[in-house]
Amino acid sequence: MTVRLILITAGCIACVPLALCLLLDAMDRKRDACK
Amino acid sequence: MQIETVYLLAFLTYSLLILGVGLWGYRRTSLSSFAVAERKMGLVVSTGTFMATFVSAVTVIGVSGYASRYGWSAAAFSCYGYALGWILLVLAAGRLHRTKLTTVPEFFYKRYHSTALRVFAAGTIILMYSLVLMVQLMAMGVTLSTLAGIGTSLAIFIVGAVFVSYTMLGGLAAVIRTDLVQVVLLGGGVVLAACIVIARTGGAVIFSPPAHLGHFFGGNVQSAGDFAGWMLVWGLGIPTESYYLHRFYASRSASVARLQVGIGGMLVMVILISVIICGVGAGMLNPPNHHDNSAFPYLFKNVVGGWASVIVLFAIMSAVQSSSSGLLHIVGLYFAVDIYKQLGNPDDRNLLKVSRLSTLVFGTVITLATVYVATHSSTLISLIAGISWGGMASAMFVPLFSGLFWKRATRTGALVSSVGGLVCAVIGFSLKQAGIISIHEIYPGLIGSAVLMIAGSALTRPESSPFVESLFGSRKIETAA
Repeated sequence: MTVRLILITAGCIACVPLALCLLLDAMDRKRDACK
Repeated sequence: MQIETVYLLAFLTYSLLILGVGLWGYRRTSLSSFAVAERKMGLVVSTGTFMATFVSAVTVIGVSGYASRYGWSAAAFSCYGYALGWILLVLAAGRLHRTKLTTVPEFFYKRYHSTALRVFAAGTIILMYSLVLMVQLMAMGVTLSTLAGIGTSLAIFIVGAVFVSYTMLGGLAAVIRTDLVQVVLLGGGVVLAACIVIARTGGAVIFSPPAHLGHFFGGNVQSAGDFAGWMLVWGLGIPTESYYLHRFYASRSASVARLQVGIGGMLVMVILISVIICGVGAGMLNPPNHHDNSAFPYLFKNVVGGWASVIVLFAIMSAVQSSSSGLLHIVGLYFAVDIYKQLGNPDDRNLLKVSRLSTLVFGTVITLATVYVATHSSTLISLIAGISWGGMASAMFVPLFSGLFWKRATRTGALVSSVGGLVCAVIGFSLKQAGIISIHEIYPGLIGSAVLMIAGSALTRPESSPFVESLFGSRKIETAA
């Protein structure tokens, strides 16, 4: 059970940087569109 | 054919392939190609080079050795802190990319108008990376010697000759392409190794590991406080490493600069979990005297055996050479651009020549010094190498992130923060060695650095410049002179 929890949480936290990338890209695109 | 001969032939074939890529890079003769791969790195190449640089010998050999002794707590020790580091790298990536500079110390110069800070940062990076390179080469020498049955000194010499040659010849343009080959061998090898271990243990390595290997806490992480502590050590240390930051300059766009970390981070996590599976498997299958850094190579040479073990040699070799070439490239280039250039006003052609020469000289000296250290123990080198992580973070984190995100940060603040942070880390390290404190030296280093940055900036006036205005305003960023 512990190992499965480790795998799930490690998998989830590894996705956070990618989600942040997509968010910052979207913000960049919005800012460029407003210029 | 004996397995040792197979290892040696495989190693020589691999070395020739990698040298071929280096020779290809030599045909490209611009400083821009050597320094920042002409700023044309696309998503596939940049993700590959990020992963190859991130997964070093320390990751493959060190984490698997740790997992063989402390089991799945290796994940608590590494995975979460690494992810925090990637988040901070993503935050810095876009801004650094848009500056269109060539080195990290050059950012300090443009942001704070301080040649002293630039030279200090470059000197710190060169010293620390030279020592980290020695540790990497040593790990490779020991592994190759164990697997292929050749002497450690000869193994170090051969590995050194290969990576120094292709880094010197092709610069970053060659490094990122060799990284691509290496990350395929490394990732494929480690994931395949994990599958073999899962099959060998009948899935027990994941679903029912022995009690002493199946806990979240263990080894260096005994409590939630230790967990948070190590998360900060990795999380704040990773985003100060120039070999990652440098790749943001070389990326084609801000989006590519960020995504290489976002996508690369996810794939590195797969590699890391595979390494931990191999380590826990070694803890279950190896004899107790091989629950250390020899766990991974020993498991595949003596327990699994046969041709499957060749993949481990490739995986470890790729991990070492890709990280080492990234480090050496930074050492050679930063010496030329951030130190040598300050002595006169050399043109790009001259700087390229000096970059190659300094890469060769540093690489040769580091390789020979590693051969020496492998046969004569050196307390001083192991002490300085031990402080490299905390020292680098303490000297660089606050000035770098303040420079990127705090407009009020001043030259005086940055200078005292960088020098003071390193001094506090060295004091913290000494106190820890003496048994007076038990926390990682990164804490006194970073706290000292942050306090000095705030005090130094509060007492002095910030200087405005087009570069600073463009970093914090809507104005287009000024490119390097």
